[in-house]
Amino acid sequence: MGSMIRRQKRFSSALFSGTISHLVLLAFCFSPISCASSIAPFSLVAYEMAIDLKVDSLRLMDAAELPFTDSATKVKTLQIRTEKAFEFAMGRPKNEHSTEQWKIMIDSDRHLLGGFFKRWESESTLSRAFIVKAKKLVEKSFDAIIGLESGKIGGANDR
Amino acid sequence: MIDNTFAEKTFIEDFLPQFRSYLQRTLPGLQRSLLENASTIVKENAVNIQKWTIQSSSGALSVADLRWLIKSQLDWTSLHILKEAGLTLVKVDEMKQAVVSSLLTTIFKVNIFK
Repeated sequence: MGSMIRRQKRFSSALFSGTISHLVLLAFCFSPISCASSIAPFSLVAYEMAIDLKVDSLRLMDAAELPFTDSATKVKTLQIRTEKAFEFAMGRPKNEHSTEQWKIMIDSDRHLLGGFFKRWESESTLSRAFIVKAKKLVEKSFDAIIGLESGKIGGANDR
Repeated sequence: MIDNTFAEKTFIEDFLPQFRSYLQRTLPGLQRSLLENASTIVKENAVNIQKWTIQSSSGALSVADLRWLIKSQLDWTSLHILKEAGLTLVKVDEMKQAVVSSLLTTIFKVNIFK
């Protein structure tokens, strides 16, 4: 009992004396509470969603030489899936960068996947030369989304 | 009684070199990759726009196609910048974890609770 009290006294003396207390305080400042992540961790669901959508989107873009009406249902289905991916990104805390990426990708007033479908619908068909170039840009944009997700802590780059 | 002067000296001797070596390993690589990325994007944008302008003047791409592709290139650049900004935050988190780990290791090494 006596040795326990002595040990407690020694602990208090160390804890609150001069420099040592500063070190403890410094360690506490960097503790998990204050060391909260700046960005969401890796999500396998988000990663798989992005890969699936990349493959399906690029395949569907290839059909843009034919009239839009032929693929309207497929486009609608894909648009719903991309909206789900955006909503999933938006629902995750500290995930603003990925959310903004999806927002640009699916916005029909921008010039990636959403903008491509809008143009296809308004022009009915698109030229092969244009499709090839637009596909390359949409592909690289998906890679940027996938690259950010896999680079997060717990992702492919962290293994 | 605990010898605080000794603990402080040991702490500084242990922690600072660890932290310095971590920064020396990490920061130059981070700076180099940011600069390389920026330069690659600028070059790639310039090459693509030049190529598309030639194709547009030969009739392979319409003016509307060219305008759309240039805007698309800018949107891709935004996505790429968002990726780099996000990955920089990941590096900041890794750095914070390294500092915490070094601090805790050092504190237990100087054995202040003995």
